[in-house]
Amino acid sequence: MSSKTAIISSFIEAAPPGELSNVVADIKTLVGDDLQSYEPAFRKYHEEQYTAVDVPGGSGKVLLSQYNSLGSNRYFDPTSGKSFAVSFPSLKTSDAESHSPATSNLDLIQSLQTAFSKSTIEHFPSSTIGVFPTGSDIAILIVANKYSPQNFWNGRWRSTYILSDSGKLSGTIKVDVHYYEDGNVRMQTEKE
Amino acid sequence: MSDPFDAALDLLRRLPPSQTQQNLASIISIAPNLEDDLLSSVDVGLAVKRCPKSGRDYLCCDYNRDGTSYRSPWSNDFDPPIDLDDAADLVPRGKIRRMEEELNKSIDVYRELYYEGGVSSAYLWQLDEGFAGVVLVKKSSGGAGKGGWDSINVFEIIEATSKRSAHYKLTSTVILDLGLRNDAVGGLELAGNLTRQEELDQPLAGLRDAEIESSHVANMGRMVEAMETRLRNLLQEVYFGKAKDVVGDLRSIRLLSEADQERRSHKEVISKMGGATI
Repeated sequence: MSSKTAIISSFIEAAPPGELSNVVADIKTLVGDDLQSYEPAFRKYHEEQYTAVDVPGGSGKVLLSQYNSLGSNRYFDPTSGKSFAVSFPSLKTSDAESHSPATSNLDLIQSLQTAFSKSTIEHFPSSTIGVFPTGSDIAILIVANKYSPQNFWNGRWRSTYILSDSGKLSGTIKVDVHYYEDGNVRMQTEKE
Repeated sequence: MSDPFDAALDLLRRLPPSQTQQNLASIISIAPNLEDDLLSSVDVGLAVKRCPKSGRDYLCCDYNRDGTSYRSPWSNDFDPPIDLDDAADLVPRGKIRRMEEELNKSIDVYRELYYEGGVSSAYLWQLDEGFAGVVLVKKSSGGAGKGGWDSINVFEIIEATSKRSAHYKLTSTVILDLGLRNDAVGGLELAGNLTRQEELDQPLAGLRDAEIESSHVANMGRMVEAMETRLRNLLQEVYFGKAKDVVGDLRSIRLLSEADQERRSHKEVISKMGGATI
């Protein structure tokens, strides 16, 4: 049987879209209020689910992902040229500094960000885009959430595209839907 | 601070239903005092065991369990065998056992008609007032598209003092697990459970005990058939219909500006019609 930390961490990572706070409240009732030891689980959840946070001292939101992580809970945003700290589980952002990502594609990244933000409005009622350098490639991330807890359902769409140096584009789309009126139904799909 | 039991139930309703069994075991390991309450209130996929006496398969649930032993509905014995004193309380006899045998036979026929395969079992037990029971059916299929259906129908029955009718309360849960992995779709996992309830007064035919017992079995069988059909249709609507709706809300297939344009011209037409005098 796994350790308590492993068990609680797996619960955090499996939380359905829009219901992390409910899962956390349940965990607190079962094992107490101290959640600091589960910080890695929270970080993993937010990086995998492309959670959007406010850029401190700036406007707009930026996604948290493995692609824009600088380690030690710091992330960067190519659009505003800043890096900042995020604390888990509260998701408060702070300590903004100016940051130039080590990539030759900065212009391309910024224009992709603007272009995508305009075009996704045609298909996504509400979404957040992130374009980040990853090695010599560029990662394009789209996350769209729709929460309707009063109707007992929540959903999340995550697209991850990698534009390689040679101009090749590949990606994965993941959709996670949870419906829980008088029951518990979960659909998780992944398409390349 | 809310009650730990409620928190555990809420947690199980939010975590992926395909992992309910493991999550239940995990929660019990971190909160062992909740074990008995959780095991008796949470529906998990049913386990199949083979009855050594009759050679037939039967389903295991909390209602035919004593410790780690399970009672076979075909032979009415516990496997592995339990203490004779405990057996006196837990093994049904007389009227309850007769109805249980008849119920198992009818559900067997029902199962073959609707499921063409699978395993079914039914267990009954005496209550202070009336009696209670559970009808279980399980079917799995494998291959590139795998699936599993587990249905748990729990009954509570109280006979009227006149013995001309009885009040039946049925709570049914279906646990459905679907998975598909191929090139066209990628990977799809759709799992969940739905619970519905029904309460009904049904007549009891006959005056002798045997006739009344047969009436009960027929009434219960009818209710299970109606409920499972209802749940099967609901599952189709909810699993596929609802999931498709939510995906459509996340990302539309057509251009949103076009949809907006259409909505606005509809509104215009309607308001013009409303202004016209007839």
